[in-house]
Parts: sequence; structure tokens; C-alpha cells
Amino acid sequence: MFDQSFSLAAQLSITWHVIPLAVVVSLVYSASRFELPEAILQRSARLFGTILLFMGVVFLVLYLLSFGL
Amino acid sequence: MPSESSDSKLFRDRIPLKNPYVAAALAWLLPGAGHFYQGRYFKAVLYAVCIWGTFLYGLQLAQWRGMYYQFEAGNTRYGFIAQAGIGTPAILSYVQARRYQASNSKRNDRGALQHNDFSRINEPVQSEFRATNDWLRLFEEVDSLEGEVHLNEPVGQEGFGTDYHGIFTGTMNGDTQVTVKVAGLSLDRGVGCEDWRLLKCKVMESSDPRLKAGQIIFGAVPRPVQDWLFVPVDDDMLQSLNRQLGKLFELALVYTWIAGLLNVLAVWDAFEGPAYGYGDELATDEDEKKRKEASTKAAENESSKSDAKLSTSEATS
Repeated sequence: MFDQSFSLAAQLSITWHVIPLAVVVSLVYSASRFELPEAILQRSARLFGTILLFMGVVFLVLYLLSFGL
Repeated sequence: MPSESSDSKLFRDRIPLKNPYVAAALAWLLPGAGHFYQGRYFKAVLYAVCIWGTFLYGLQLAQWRGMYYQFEAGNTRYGFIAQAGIGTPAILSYVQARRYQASNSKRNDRGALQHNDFSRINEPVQSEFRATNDWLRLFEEVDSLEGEVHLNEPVGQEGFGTDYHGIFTGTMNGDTQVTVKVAGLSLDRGVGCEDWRLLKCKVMESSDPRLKAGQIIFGAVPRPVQDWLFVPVDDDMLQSLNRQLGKLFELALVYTWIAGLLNVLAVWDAFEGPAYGYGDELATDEDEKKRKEASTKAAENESSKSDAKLSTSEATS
């Protein structure tokens, strides 16, 4: 069961693995900065958005640079 | 980074750190345990789920071969330093590496550990046994052997003159029941990265004429999880994992590294408390500002009222 659900996730494109990683990093990082659950969740949501935005910009830049290659 | 107000300087007094050394040690050994000990249950659950989830997912993605201790000239796993942010698997990896070295003396030209050195059995073995066509190339009419082997204790002195016996009972080619007496047994070493051990034996007597006396059977017996998990992975296994998983293997390692590094933050949080504050400082600072603004406005109103009163009294006089 544990292995099966994990192997299903493993079949996803490698890019999608970045999203849970970004969620985990923002949650743990924010938890190490604040104590109140509301503050942790708020900050981690904001950090998650920032990470996604940053990755989106990088993706766009790389996409434009590789256009026509 | 938000500036610490006088209130927030005291925020650590609001957090029950108990004995921070014990908490940090627990947090290192088992992510979440340090915070659980301190009674910070929300954080304990958050750290446990996030860090264990990331670590175990990575480990599973790498077919449980993503973490092992190997620091040798020309064959060093620097990623282990990041993974060692989680204590229990790091300690287990170190122990397994020592056990592996103790059970292995053969190395190839590059100094890498090899796994195919057979040793003679020195203990009774009763185990599942499986041999497929690849292993049974000497037997033209035999495709597979599956069943149980019972290997007896060696008789006589170690070396020349030692005799080993065993009995295989099971099915041949998936349907025919066979009993085979075997001898000249040798077994792959106890601790290794595969979840099976290679078994080599010679047929002495068989209930089926297709298994001829004197021929050699190569097969596999299962290796218990405590003898392969966190054990150093050899070159063959690494190549096979890279071939099988490709980029996913690298991704799996990245997951375990990130989990280890994130636990460093959790350990520090258990030892020192959160880095910025309790989390309500900004709100209280804003309240304070609003209160001050309101009081200055009220004071201004008061003074303008008194000024107006004064001017009207001056006018009447």
C-alpha cells in the first residue's frame, strides 16, 4: 500500500516533485521562525507562493532562451 | 527579518524549552520527538510529517538504497553529510557500514567493495529458495526451482575435509514436486545491499532425473531487511539503480538531503526556540501603534477643544 502509492507518485513527471518539496520547505522553514500555528501557516503560504513565482520566472526565462533551439 | 520589539525579546520565556539539550538530541534522533518532549505538539506533528515524509519518500524512490555511509579514498558519499541531519538513519548507516566491512574483505582494483565473494556456511539455514533459468543454465530441461532449503551444520574441520549437506524441497518448473539432496554449499555473505543472498550448491541426489547428480545449482535465498537496509551499495547495484530509475534516482537523493538539512532547522528550533519570534509580535506592535495614534489624536482633540474654549472665553471678556 505504502510502496504502491509512492510508486504511483514516482511515475509523475520529475517537475511535479518540486511542488511537495516547496510545500515542505516553506512549512518547516516558517515553523523554525515562529511559534504560533497561524503565523507559521500564513508565512509558509506566502513563502510557498514566492518559491513558485521564482521558479515560474526561472522556467519562463529558460523557456524563452531555449526558444527555437 | 522583522526587528525584535521589547516584548518579542521575551518571547522565548513563553515557550517551554524544558531541557534544550535533551530536546535537541531527541529532535536530531527522531524529527518531531524533541518538540513532542517540549509539549509543542503542533510543531512536533508538522516536523514529523514533513521531514519523515520527505525522507521516506526519497528513500523509497531510490528503492531504499539512497542512504549509506561510505567515506573511503576515491569512493566517498558526501551526500551523507546532509542526510546525517536525521540521526537515527545516520547512526544505523554507520553501524551497517561497519557490519558490511566486517563481513567483506574483497575489493576490486578501484578499491570499491565487491559483493560476490562466497563464503562457506557456518550456521544452519532454513529458508525460501528460488532459482530461475538464468541461474540454471547447466540444466537444459529445468526452468525454475522454487521451495525451501534446509542446510545442516558443517561436519568436520574448516577447510579440506569439511562436509556440508542440505535438502531442497519444492517445485520444479512450477508443477513437479522434487526433493534434492545437495552438498558443497556456499552462501553469499550475510550483510549486503541486495535483499537476497546467492547460494551455490552441488546436486548429490535428486528425485527427478532432470536434475543430475554432480551439477551445480545457483539460486537465491532472501536476506533479512536488517542485513541490507542502509548497507553500502556496490558499483553493480548503483549502475542498476541508475539504469532503472534514471533522473528519479538523483531526485530521490535530493529528497533525502533536503529532509536532513530541514531537520537541522528543527533541531535548532528545539534548542533555541523560533528564530524570529512567537508570531504575534507584529500584531501587538500594530495594536500598540494604533493605540498610540488614537491617544495622540485624542490628546490633539482635547487640546483643540481647550484652545477653542479659551478663545471663546477671551472673546466674551
